Amino acid sequence: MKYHVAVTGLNATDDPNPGLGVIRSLREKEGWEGQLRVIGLAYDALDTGIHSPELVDEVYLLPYASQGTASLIHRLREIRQKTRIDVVIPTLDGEQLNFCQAAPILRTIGIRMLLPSESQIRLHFKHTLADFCLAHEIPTPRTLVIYESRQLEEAIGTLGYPLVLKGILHEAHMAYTYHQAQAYFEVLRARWGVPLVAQEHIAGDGGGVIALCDRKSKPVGMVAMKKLATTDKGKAWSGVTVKDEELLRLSTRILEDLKWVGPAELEFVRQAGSGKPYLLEINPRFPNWAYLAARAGQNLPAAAVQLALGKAVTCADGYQEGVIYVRHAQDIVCSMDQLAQIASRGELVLRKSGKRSMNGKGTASKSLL
Amino acid sequence: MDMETIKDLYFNDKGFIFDPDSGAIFSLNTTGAFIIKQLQKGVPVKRVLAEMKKDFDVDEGTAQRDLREFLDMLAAFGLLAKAPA
Repeated sequence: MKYHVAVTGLNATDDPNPGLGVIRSLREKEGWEGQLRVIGLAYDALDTGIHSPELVDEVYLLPYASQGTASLIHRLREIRQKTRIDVVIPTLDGEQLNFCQAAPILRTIGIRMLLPSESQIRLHFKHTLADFCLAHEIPTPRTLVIYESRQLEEAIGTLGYPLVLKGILHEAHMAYTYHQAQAYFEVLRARWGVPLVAQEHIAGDGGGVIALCDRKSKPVGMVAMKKLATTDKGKAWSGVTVKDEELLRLSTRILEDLKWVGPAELEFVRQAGSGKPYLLEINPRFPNWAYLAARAGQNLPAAAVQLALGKAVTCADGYQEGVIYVRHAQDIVCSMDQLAQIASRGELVLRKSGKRSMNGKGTASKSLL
Repeated sequence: MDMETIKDLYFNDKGFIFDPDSGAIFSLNTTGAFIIKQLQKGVPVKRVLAEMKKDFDVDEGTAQRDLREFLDMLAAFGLLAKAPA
């Protein structure tokens, strides 16, 4: 096999991790059939992707990101002794800093990555993005950084209702009253700590851009998507590729200003009425709709693998607009042996090298204590 | 203390346990896995204690206390077999 690629982010709930779409993209890369072995890196024995035999060939559990970089390096060294890994594609926000800090050491054991720098990764901390946008004249919703609930009154006075409250890395809520804002403040503070950001709400159509830049910060591919349907959390459940030249130009400028390296997701909202695009977030990883971009003609996860290995990449100039994705939840049935193996040993080989197909039969578990 | 028998459980040598009645899943440490293995083989509790002292670097009092606590925990989670009426 030519490519042994490890991918994180295997859990598909109502806000699916990006790893699954990344793996599906890799699996469909022309000429890679029989040349690709996918090593899933998961955080929990019940992460859904572990039990999808068409996605991963083998799976290993990682320590939680909160355990730090040293713990991640230690575990990847252990895994590397059991299986070959040429490239890792980390796809979760919370783990990016650890992987970035681990990169020089992982390189010495033959594991390569294509990642943004530490300072670029920190841009997805929502309170630093507003400063960047201000300095580079990029339209973004007016944002205030909040440490204490007493600052809410000032935020409401400045930004009005509905007020968007966001945790530093994850989770956002819209508050329509002061009491609601106070309640969400406490929820977000308890879950993610401070600071929080308070943001004005820009009503309009949501969408995003998936991008990949090479080590010289040259964008090698980019696809724009407009959300067609969202979950009750506001997460995209369906979307369509669009030739939004303005968003693509703005994304190119942002990534060039940042001297970006590696994958990125830029999230925008186009204001209703004016149509003006506002940047909401930059995420230092592929989005969970990377597979849509691959099917529209730009397989950026496969390009990331080649770039990480130091190979030249030529991506398609354009992509097909009007390609739609709709998410679909599916029950996967697996055996107790399979769950027991990943839960107790932290590893599971679904397919030995060179073989495809395996699925157990049995009862899925109700709870994991 | 010598009467406990374990329910028919799914378990592997790494301490993964599945109770097919309740659907509950447990993860045991090495000592717990050792005890369960012995009980599943039908080894009486007194013998389990002796085996523990043989296999682990532990004094009689500590082993006895740990075993008792573990059996109580198994009982609390409903993992011990009911005594015949």
